[in-house]
Amino acid sequence: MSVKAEQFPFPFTEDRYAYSNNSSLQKPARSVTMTDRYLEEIQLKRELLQANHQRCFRSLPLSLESQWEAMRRIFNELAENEPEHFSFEKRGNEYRFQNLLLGEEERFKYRDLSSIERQPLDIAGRHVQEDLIIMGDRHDGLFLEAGQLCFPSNWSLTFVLGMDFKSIHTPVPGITHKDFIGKVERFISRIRQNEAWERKNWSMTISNKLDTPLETYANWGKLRLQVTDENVGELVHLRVEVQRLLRLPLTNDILFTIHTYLLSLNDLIRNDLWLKRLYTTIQFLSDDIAEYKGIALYKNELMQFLEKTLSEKGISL
Amino acid sequence: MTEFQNNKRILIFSDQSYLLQANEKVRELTEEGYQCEVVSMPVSSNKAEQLLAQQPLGSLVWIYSEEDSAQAIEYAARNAGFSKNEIWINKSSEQNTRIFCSQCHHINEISSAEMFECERCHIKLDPSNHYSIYHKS
Repeated sequence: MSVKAEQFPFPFTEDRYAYSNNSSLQKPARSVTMTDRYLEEIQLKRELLQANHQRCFRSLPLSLESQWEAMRRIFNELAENEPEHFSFEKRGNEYRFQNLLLGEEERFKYRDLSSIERQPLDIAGRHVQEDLIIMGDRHDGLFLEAGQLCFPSNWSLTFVLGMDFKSIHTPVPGITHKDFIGKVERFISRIRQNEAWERKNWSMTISNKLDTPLETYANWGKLRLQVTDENVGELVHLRVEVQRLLRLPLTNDILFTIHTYLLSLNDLIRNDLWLKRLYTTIQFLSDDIAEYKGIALYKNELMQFLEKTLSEKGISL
Repeated sequence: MTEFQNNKRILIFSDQSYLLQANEKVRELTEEGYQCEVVSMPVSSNKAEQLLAQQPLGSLVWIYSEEDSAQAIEYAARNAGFSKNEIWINKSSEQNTRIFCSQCHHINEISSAEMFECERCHIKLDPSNHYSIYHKS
């Protein structure tokens, strides 16, 4: 499910790859945005939730207050930023959210569980393209306490539920070097109320499949073996997650949203700067990071494809 | 006025099979200057919550019990405001490792960390060191 190149958030600002906290403060603070893939992605999300609800939605009871706050925040944002598509009205403690694109409405009494049929985050997530995560900010760190996750890149929501921030990132190579992950956690813990920060995370995936959870790795992981010199441009996609972190002012917890974009190499190489930056980034990628990002199995085919394209376009490095 | 105890008080939950081990530890800890209180398990969740809520700030919670009972006390302690660093759980006498299946979420108990087949979904699993305190696997 690829996006148009004009809407693709190309992640590389330099010619080499290095770990960095490349976050930027968002003004105004946004946790969700829309692309022209809205209807297709919402439909896919709902199919996944219908078929695999236990895999795609998990929560701890102590996350409910933050879920309410997140739902209200997201509906407010949608109505304020896309008023032609959404509306949100409040009368006393009763709310009505209307999604005109889907012809649906959600009515609820704030913090009254008897007024809703699903948990708040599970309702809100069905109206946005983003995956939604609640990170509880406790006195001993950040903990993943709820999530609606339909489009993960090789991780399991069930496994990381209740897990602390540092442990979640254990599989990332070198992440503890010079306490990098500790610094990131401290950065997040200092985000102020109603502030939103945005960063881009990237990897590569085969086919335009958004839903690549750890639970179905046996199905999609083997696609990496099918990459050849002939099909690399069509099969391999750059996958970018625009991740936003917003401090919820009432509960002081963090709403973490992930908007995933895919772009095939054939579409990406139409932009000369993107082609050049992708090539140099992959060229200098260490073996463990290439493995972690899912590239190791077809790195040779990928590099040959990029070199050939650079040569054909007469681009020098 | 809040009284800080500087980690000198330990509330110990122990079931019958670990009582000897727990009492031995209490003797050692008392000599080191700790105040220890042993609560014999099983204990109702209400009673456990009440005891935990009565502990002064800086207290520690130790649990000598098998997995399920230990987890119930741990949850109660977390809800009472104890951090993960203030709760210690003895390891089971068995040396099995709990491995979370990435496909079906079943927790397998195995004796080695080599590749094995999940006993529920039969996928081949190669255990990693990614550990969940929540799932204890």
